[in-house]
Amino acid sequence: MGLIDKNPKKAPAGAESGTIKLSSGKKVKKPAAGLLAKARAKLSKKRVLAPVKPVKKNTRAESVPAQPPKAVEPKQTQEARQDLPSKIFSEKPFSVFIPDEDYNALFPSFYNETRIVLMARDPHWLFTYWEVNQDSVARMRQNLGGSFDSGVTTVRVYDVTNVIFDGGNSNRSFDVRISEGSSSWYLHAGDPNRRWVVEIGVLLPDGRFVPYARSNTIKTPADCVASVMDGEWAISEELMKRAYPKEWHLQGAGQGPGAQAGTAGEAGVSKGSAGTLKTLGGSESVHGGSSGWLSSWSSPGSGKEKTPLFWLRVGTELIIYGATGADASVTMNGKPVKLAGDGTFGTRFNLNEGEHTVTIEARSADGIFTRAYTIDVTKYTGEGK
Amino acid sequence: MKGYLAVVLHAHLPYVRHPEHADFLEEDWLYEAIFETYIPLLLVYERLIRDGVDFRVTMSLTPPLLSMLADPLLQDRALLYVEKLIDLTAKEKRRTEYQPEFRKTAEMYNWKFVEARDYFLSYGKNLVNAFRKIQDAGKLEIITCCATHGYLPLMINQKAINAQIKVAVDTHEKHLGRKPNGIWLAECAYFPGVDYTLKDHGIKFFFVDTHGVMYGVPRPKYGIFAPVFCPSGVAAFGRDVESSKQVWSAKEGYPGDTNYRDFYRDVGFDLEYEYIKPYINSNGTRTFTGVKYYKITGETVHKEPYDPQVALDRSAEHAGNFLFNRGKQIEWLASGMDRKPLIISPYDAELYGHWWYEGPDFLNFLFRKMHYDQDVIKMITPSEYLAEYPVNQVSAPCESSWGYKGYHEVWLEGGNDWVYRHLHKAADRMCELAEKFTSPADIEKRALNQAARELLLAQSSDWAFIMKTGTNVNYAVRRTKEHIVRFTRLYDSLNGGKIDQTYLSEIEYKDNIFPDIDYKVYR
Repeated sequence: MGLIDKNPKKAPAGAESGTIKLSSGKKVKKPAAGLLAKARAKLSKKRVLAPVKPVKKNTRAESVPAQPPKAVEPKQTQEARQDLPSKIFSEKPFSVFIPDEDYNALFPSFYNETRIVLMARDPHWLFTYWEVNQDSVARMRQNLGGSFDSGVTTVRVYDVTNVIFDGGNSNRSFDVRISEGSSSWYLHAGDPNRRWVVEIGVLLPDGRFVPYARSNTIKTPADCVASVMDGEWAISEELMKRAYPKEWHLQGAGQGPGAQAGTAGEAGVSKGSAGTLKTLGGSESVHGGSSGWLSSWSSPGSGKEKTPLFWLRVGTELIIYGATGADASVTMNGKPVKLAGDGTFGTRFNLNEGEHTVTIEARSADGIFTRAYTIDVTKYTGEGK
Repeated sequence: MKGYLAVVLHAHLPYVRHPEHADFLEEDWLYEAIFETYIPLLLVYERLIRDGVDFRVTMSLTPPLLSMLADPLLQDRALLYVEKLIDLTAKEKRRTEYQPEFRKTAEMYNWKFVEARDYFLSYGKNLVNAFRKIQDAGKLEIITCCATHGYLPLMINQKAINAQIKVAVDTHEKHLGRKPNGIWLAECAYFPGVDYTLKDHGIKFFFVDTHGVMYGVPRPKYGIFAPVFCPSGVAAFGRDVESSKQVWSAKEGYPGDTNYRDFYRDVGFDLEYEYIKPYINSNGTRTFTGVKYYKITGETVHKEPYDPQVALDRSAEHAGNFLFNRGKQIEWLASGMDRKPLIISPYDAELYGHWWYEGPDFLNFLFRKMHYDQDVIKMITPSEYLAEYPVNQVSAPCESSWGYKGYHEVWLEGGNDWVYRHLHKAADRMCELAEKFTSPADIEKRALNQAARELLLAQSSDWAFIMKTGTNVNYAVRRTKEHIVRFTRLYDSLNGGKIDQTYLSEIEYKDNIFPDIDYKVYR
C-alpha cells in the first residue's frame, strides 16, 4: 500500500509484547499541522556576529531616529555559529560586522524635487508618478494668490504625435483630476501608437491650468498588425494566420506565458488595476515564460496545487536501532547493516500492512560470538488486502 | 531538408548570495537549478556529443547566473546541498526497501544526485566551464542577457540602458571567452530604439514575442518564420506560437501529462518531522527537498506512485509528437516561402528538470530523433541562420514582452509600480556621479563602482515580478529597498566628501557582483 492517501478504516485494539499495533482512523478536527504544506519561512535570521559600532548616518537618515547598535553578546554569537555546522561562511576580509541596515527606516520615500515621469504600460494605458516639493507649492501659491486654494491638482495628458510640443500645440489633451495625497496614477490614453506627454499642475475654476512640471515623452505600443505593407516583402494571408492565429490576437499577446485563466480583462480606472485588453474569452492558462519558474520555485502554497478542504494522511515507519561492539558486523534479515564508528546502528523502514519478522544478528570481529534478536511486527489497518 | 528549428533556453536566476548568513533559503534556487536543470541538460549535451549526434541549441546564460555559477562560496554551498540530498536519498532507499512502488524512484534519485555531484566536481564545481566546452564544440550558442535582467522598456534613462548591455557583454566575455552575438532581452521586453544600443555593443540579434514581429512596420513578409532587421540592422527573431503552446500550455502542454512527476508532493512536506528535519530549512520550516514520489495522476488529491520508466517512455512519445508537428509545420511553410523557414522555440531553461522533471529527457529524445529519424527539419542557431541568409526584410518590431498580455503590465501594476520612482532616480544620480567624478581618489572610485553595483542589482526585473506574483514578496521588497538605500548612502557620502570605509567594505562584501565594473559606464 502507499504510504499515504488512504484513510485507515479500522483500528485493532491492544498491544502485546513484540507486536506493534496501530491505532488509527480517529477523527481529527484540524489537519495535522506537520503534514501541511506551510507557507514559507520568514526570510532570514539576522545573525549578527560581533558587537558593532553604529552605522554612520548619512544626511538622509538624519531625520530617522538613530538606531541603537545591535550589539549581540558573545555567547549568543557562539551559539549562532554552533548550530550551523553544515553551511559555509565566507571569510570576511575584515573583522567588524555591521548589522543589516534597517532598510525600511532608511528608504527614501521622496527626493524633495518637482518632477513628473510618464511610462507606457500597454497600447492603451499610461502610468505616471510625480513629486511636487514644498518650494514649488509655495511658489505656485504666491503666483496664484487667492485662487490657489480653489484650484485642484490635475494631470493633463497631451497627445503630441508628430509635433514638437511647446505646451500649446498638442493634437488633443484631456485632464485627470487627482485625489489629494496621490503621487502616481494610471491613465487611460486609449490610443496605441501615439506619443504622449503629461503635466502635473493646478486647474483653476476659470479654466486656466498652471503646471508644476512636464514629463518625458513616451509612445504607446501598437496593438495590431501594421497597415503598412512593403511591396517587395508582402506577407500572404495564409502565412499571417499560421504565424499568428486569430485566437492569439490581443489576448494572445497576453495569454502567452505566465497567463492565468480568468484573470484577464479586468477593468478599472483608479490606480492599481486597469485593463482594456479584453480577452476573447476562454483564455488559456499557459505557465512558464516570463520568470514562470520564480513563482513555482519557491512556493509551497502558491495555489497551483488544488488544496482540498480537508484530508488526512497517515504514514507508519519502523525504526530499529541498537549497539554492539564497534568492530562487530550486524545483519538485518541477512542484509548487512552499517555501523557508526561507536558500534551503534539504526535503520528505518516504511512499515507495510501485514506481519513482519525482523531478525537482527551481530557477529564479533573474530567470529566467535554471535547474538540474535527477533522482532515480530504487525501492522493492521484493514487495507492493502 | 526543408527548414530549421532553433530551441532557445533562457537560463536565469536573480543574484542571490548572502555570505552574511550561513543558510539562506533563496540561495536554494541556484542549487536546485544546478542539480535539477543545468547538470541534467549538460549531461544530455555531453552524451549527444559522445554519441555523434549533431544538434544545436541556444542558451542565454544571464550575467547574474554566470556570476553565481563562478562564485566559490556558492559553489561550496552547492556541493553541500547535493551531498545532503545524496545522504537523504541513501536513507530513502533503505526506508522504502519493502515498498517496490517507491523503491525504484528512491534509487533513481540517489543515483542521479551522485551522478550530478560527480559531474559538478569533474568541472571543479564551476559549470561555466562545462557550458563553455559545449559552446566550443560548436553545438551550443551562448547568448547574453541584460546585466541584471533589467526591464529595459521601463528604464527610461538611456545611459542606464546602455550600462545594462555593456556590463552584460563584458561579463559574458570574461566568463565565456568571447563576445556574445545575441541577447535575450530580459522578459523578451523590447522597445524601438534599444536595438541601436545593442548594435553599439556588437550584438547582432535578439528575440521578441510573436506579436513583436507580427505588429512590426511594415508587415513582415515571412511572419515569425524568418528574422527581420530593425532599422539599426540588428536582427529580431520572433517566438513561434505553435511550438510554444505544445510545451507551455497548461491544458495541452506535455508537462501536464498524468504520468509525469508531480512537483508539489515532496518528502519535505510528507515525511515524519524528525526524520526529514536535517534536509529542510534550517529554521525547521518544511520545504521542498526535490525528492518526490508521485505522478501528476490527474486533478485529484489522491496521487499514484511515480514510475520513472513509464515517464521516460512518455517523454520519448512527446518528443516524437513534437517533431512530427514541427515537420508538418515546416513542410507547409516551405511550400509558400522562398527561403527555408525557421521555427523559434524559446523556453525558460528552468522549466526543464526543475518544473518538468522529464524535460531534459524530452530534449534528449527530440535531438536524437531529429538527427536519426527524419530529414525535413534541422536544428540551427540564430547566428548560423543569419550566416545563411544575410539579407532580410527591414521591419521595426513592436514594443512588447512575453509577459501576461504581451506588454509591460506584469512589471508595472499596483503591487510593484512604486519601485520605478526609485530606480529612475538612482539611475539619474548614478549618471550625475559619473559625470562629476572625473578623477576620483581610490576610496571614491570604490564607492562609485559599488554604487553602480547597487543600482544594477536594484534593477533586476525579478523583484517586480515577485511582487506581482505574490510569493516571496518580502524578499523582493527587501532587496529593492536595500539596494536603493545602499546606493543612496553612497551617493550622499560621495557628494558629502566623507566615505565610511567600513560601511563600504561591508556592502562590497555583501553585493559583490561584477568585480571589474567601472562606474564610467554611466557616462
